[in-house]
Amino acid sequence: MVSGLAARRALGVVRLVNGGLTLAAPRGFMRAVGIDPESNRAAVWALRMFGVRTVLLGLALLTPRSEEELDRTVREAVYIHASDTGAALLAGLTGDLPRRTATTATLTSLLNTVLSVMARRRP
Amino acid sequence: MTRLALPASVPGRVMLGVRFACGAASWFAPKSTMRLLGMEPDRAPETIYVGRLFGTRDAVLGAGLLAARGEARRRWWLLGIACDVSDALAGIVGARRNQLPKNAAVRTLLISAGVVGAGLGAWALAAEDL
Repeated sequence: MVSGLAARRALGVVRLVNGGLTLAAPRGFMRAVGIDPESNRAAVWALRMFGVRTVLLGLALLTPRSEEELDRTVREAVYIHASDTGAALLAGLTGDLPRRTATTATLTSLLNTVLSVMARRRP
Repeated sequence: MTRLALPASVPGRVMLGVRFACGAASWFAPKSTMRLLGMEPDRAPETIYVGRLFGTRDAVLGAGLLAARGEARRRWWLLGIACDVSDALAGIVGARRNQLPKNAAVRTLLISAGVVGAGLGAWALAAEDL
């Protein structure tokens, strides 16, 4: 069984990697998930704004200054990733994202939601 | 249970309002928000999804401020300032690479929003709004 600490660390690393990639190489990230950056130039800019927030929220999760802050950031993580799951599902249903991309995004966000729920466990 | 506390300073309260307003607008009305910013969500529907991801995180930056006090709130101010500075830089890079709307006024607004946000955060921090 994965411990709360391991789940929190895994989620923090996932955020740093995802956020870092979208911040530093948004076009490469878009191509990797099946979105054409040339026909979606504004998405490149929006993705960078998503990326920096994800990196900083990852840092907040990995380096809490107190127990209270840890509790809060872990609780917020559940809302963030549940909201991402809803957004991906909605994008798939409305056709805003290609079906395959939407499925991958939904499953990835769902996994992150599960990790964030597990991160609430205390030893 | 965490006790919520509104920022005491005017720039702090404005910044908090902007975080929640941007977050809610980007999640619940992404198309209208993007059109307001000069983008074309119908031509590039993927931006709607990215806008929702951004909106959640912007609102969480506000929630972090609201729930934190003292040194923890200082940290949330710094996180917010870092985001806004990065947004301004992303805007400059986006404008140079032709990734922002062509309208010069919209481009200026998008870039300056990050600068204003960072300024408000720094002002609240300087006012010891902890």
